[in-house]
Amino acid sequence: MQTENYETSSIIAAERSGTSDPSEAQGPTTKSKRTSEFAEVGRHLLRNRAAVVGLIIIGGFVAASVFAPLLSTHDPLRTALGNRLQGPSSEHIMGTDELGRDLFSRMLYGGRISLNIGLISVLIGVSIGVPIGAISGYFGGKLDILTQRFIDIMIAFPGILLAIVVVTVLGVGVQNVMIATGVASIPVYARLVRGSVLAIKEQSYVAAAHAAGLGHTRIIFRQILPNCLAPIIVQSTFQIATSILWAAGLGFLGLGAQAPTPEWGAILSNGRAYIRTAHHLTTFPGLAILFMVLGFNLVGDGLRDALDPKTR
Amino acid sequence: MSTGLSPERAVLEVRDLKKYFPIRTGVLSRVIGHVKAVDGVSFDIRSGETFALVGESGCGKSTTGRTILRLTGATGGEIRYDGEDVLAASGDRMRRLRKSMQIVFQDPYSALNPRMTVGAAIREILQVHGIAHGAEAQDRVEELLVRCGLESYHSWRYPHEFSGGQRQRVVIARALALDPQFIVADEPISALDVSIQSQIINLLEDLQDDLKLTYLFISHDLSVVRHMADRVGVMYLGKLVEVADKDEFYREPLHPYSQALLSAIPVSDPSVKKQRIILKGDVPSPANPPAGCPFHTRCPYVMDVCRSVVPELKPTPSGHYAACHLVHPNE
Repeated sequence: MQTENYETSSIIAAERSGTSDPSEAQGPTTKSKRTSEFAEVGRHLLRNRAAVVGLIIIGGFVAASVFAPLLSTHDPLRTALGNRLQGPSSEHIMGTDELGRDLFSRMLYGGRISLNIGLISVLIGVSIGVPIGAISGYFGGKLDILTQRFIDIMIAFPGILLAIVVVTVLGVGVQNVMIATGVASIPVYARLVRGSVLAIKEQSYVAAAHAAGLGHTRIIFRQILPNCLAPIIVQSTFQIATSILWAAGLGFLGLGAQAPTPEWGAILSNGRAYIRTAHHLTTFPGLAILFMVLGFNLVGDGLRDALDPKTR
Repeated sequence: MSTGLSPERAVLEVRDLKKYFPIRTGVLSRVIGHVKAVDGVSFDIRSGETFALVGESGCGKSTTGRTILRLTGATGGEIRYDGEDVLAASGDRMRRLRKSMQIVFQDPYSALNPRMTVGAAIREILQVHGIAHGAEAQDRVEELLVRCGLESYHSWRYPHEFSGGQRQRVVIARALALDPQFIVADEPISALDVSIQSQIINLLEDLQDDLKLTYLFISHDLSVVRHMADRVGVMYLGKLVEVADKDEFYREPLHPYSQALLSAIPVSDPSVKKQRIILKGDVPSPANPPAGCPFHTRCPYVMDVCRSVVPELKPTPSGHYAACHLVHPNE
């Protein structure tokens, strides 16, 4: 009892010192302010109920992927032709596919691949598309015209076709599908960011930064790009979904994850043939993709608000 | 042409400054013409004075200010700050020049990055120029904010948490961060509430007295200019049409355009009967300015010579500059 009392009072004391107004803080505040700003974003995100739901959904998928070996009830690759196209039962939670493999186990392992494809392809798209768009929009002139005509050419092809081209060049495989879907999303980011940059670079604060003698790199990364965050985040949450579907399409064409590798898109497209007799083969992967996309969308929305000082 | 009327030292010399914006069209962005935003402007600004540029919207006064700071490139002409060629300066020399020349913008809502606390924005400038780092920079930021009538804790606030007047104070504090001697004030109060305007004007005046600042004060509000300026330059269609000491200018404007502008100032005494000069028509397009005197299409005293010969900006014996054939009839 004694120790417990002591503990609570020390916690209160810690809280008091922690919530002190920044204006009271003295001395080298630059560094501590930066970390507290990061914490501020996190705190705001957790206050947003929708974002928390999104985090839980994504967390669930991540946990399911990480612990797939522990959670799976069967070997995802073992076929049992005598037991094909069975509906959900206590033995097979999500039923079996056209080769008698346990769908639940395949979904768990497939989540690993799909989650990776979604995240890594967006990472590739953002890390190449955003700089291209930013440089093109910021410097303008001939460079801009050249870049944009090139982006026009890329956009003229449907994303999936672009991905097919990349896979054809690089070869078949899950890794190359990530690269392919990432590359296919570059023009989307480049165009999006260029548009935002064009608007933002005309703002007086950018002129003020020039007048203060700040360099181009600093102006792009500190003044302009932070103000383009909202559309980039929104686009990324959609792009994760699109990438998973593109990857599924590639798998369907035999260019993506190769049988028997479980991947949600591939499972979905294989199940398409049996939609009248065994709809669970399309329902479960469809729902999984839907919820994963929903989770990323909710988190993305929350992140956009949390990063914007105005809505904080 | 020389406007070197100053016995005192000119800190800024602008000679025949031109800024043309190309008009492009078609797929290949062919240039089909130019908007002559600033077309051969020359003036001096003496150390410690306030030189006001006045004129209607679109007459090129803001572009002049921005070109002086090289926020847009000049098409031609010469700008010398403290003897140094601004348009030719590069790299290190330009960085040094930037430290001594700063700008205050018209719209305080777009002049501050919404994603940065005002403290972070000013600290960044101090750090880039190696003036102060860490806690020292923060101290300097707070000092600047207090100097401009804010509180030190405001450095942790984001721009959207401020009112328009407070934002303008932040913009001024940021402009002062590098200890400049010369500030372009580009319509610094025209976006503010009337009740706030006088506060900002007073702040600018106090700062000028304390820090020995030189202002290029760009405005279309002739009452404010009368209060602020030491000398006045009037711009019309990208050209300076009149330059004079303030008292002289308000007592006896020489150019018909200046006379029309001054007649439009409201007078507080209702018993005073004023003769307003109402100009006919609109400002001609700066993409296709009229031949001869740019003002001849609207001038009430237009003569034949005005339609063909461009009047030069030349001084009267009293040192009052005007570009008008009426003032210099022997042309």
